[in-house]
Amino acid sequence: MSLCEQRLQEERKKWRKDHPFGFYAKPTKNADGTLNLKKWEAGIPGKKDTIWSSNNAVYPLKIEYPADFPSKPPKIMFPANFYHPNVYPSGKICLSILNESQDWKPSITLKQILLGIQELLDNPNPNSPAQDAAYRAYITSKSNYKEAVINQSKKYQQT
Amino acid sequence: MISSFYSSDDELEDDIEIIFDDSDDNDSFTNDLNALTLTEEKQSDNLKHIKHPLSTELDDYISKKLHMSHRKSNLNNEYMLFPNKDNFILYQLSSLSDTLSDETNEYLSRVMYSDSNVDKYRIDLLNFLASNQWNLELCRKICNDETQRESLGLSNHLEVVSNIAEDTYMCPICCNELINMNDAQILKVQSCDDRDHYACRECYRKYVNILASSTSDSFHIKCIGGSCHMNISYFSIYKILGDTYIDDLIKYSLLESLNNNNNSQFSVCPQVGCENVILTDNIKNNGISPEYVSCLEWHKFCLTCKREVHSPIPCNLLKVWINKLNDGNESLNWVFNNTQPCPSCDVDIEKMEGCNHVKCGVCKFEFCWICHKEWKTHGGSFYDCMHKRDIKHSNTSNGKETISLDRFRNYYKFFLESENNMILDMRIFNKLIESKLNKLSAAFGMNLTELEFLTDCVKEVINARNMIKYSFALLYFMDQSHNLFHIFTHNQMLLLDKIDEVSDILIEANLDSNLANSKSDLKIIKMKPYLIGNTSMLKKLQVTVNKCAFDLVNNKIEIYK
Repeated sequence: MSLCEQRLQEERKKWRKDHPFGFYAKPTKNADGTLNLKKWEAGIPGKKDTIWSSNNAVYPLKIEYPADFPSKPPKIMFPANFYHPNVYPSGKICLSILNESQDWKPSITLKQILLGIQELLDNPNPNSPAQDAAYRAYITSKSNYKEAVINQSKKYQQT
Repeated sequence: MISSFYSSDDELEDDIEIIFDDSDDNDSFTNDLNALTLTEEKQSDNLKHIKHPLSTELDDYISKKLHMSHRKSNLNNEYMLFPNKDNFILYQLSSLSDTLSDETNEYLSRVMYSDSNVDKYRIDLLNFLASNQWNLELCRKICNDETQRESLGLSNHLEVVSNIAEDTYMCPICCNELINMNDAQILKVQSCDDRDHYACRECYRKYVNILASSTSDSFHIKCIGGSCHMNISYFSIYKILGDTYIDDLIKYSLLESLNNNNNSQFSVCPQVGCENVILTDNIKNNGISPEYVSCLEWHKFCLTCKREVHSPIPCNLLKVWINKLNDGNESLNWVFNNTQPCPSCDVDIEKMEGCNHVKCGVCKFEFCWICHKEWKTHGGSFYDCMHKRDIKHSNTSNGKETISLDRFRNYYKFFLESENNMILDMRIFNKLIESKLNKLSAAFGMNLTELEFLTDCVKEVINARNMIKYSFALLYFMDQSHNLFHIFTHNQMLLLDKIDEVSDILIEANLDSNLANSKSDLKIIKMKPYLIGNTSMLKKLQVTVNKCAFDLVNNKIEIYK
């Protein structure tokens, strides 16, 4: 078993044993029904009592682990055109711990990453904007920004 | 663009003092180090009393290795030349030892070393220098600052974990169960006690290896734990990676400082295969007249743009010209359409997504993508730009474009022609130094110094050919209706006539043939005074052409860009 697979199995074990409330993360399935540990799907709830938690929204993510994980960080994407100042139009997240040349370290676990992203949702970093619309609204008009976030949360509403 | 030919700077030769020992016997040179005479008092003092504050071994080590050093002075600028990066680094090390205060050195040696292994000193000092872009001034500042010294990452070694109560421990990185604790398998950073930050030796090796061989920030490697900010000592990194670490460190840190415009104190010779390093103090450059320097192998190049000698065309126009030459190339077309040059270091940058705040990956200059102004002073928002970019001499009308193309083809033809002529002349020169000189010397009983006029003459022809070549590139940009343009071309033609005249004589004399032909040989010997006269004539004409070019550029009569 490769180092990458071994680690991912352990990540899965750890996640099943203990993960933060409201989150989910699971490997996808291949066409033949076997698990694909390199591609995961995950969901992050908005932090309690923030605009992101309106409509009990859970925001979906796609996680892709490269073959040289954990030396290299996984690629994590929101759906395209996700509304957030630090998310690129492609859905790519601008977060230093996900950047190989910045703060990525091989010891960072899935749980830490997902909690980090949840934190980022309500605390955007205005110093590294990744999309125009959300950034501009966040800077100039908080009320418009709020409205757009709440609007988006409807789309990811959990029943 | 650098062609391989010897070209020396004749006017400067007198000022050059060479300490040169290429033999294998390095030790003999150690003594000669004291004899190193430098033009500048201060510098010579520096080398004579290296205070070897760290250890005498280091000092010996440096002086043994620093067996080749060469100083050259120009009118305004001073250079030091080194045969390769290692020598350059050793020199930097010796200067550093000298600049560090006694107190600092005591501190450093106390913290870093318990024994006097020279390699240990070397790695820590190298690291220290490398992480500060080889800037001695900065190093000294840090060493003298109590608070900064603590963060140097000198003392925080990796150590083996021995006090785990359980029988097994799972490495959080690779998830391997480690059974035998006594095998020194689990490592931790000395001052970090978080159990989740322990990792096995193999994982640490990989982790350190990846960070050390990437250009990002290979000098301050932190504890493997997610958010832990403990620096790992250089020595630990060295112990894990061995000598490759030093090589990588030198390579990447040098590349980084080379790319960093603010620290352009040294350059590596651009000639393929040449490793010479040139250290420049206080380079004064007006941006118009290029600053040339010859490395120890006599490869002459322009310090500003790192290209071959290109007078009379200034560096900025040369870049445009070279881009023009490559115009037909598809990928370069793509580059022109999709990238913008960094306003600080001219490297081509592609922006895929994100706002207008762009940081150059090479020189770290931060600027606005729209107006190219420095980001700090830019103000405004990330997506809007209030400023207009200065675009000088923009010409977009189609009519002008076609004229410009014809014009370009025309000058490019001349440019190529001159280049071919130069290559022919270079062939003569190579033959001459290979064998012909010796033959002539034997046939006429003249010693080699008496025959130097021939080498000088061919050399000057080549220099002049090079100038003609680039003068056509310059002319392409200039307004031909301007009077200065005519003055320039007139002088250029005078030079060209003279070159052809001298070149014909050299070819006629059959210098490029190895066959003994005493008749033509005799003729060339007889022409000695004539050739000497013409050599200096060629020099004078080149100076004139250069002056005219200076006028052209200064009067800003460029039309095509």
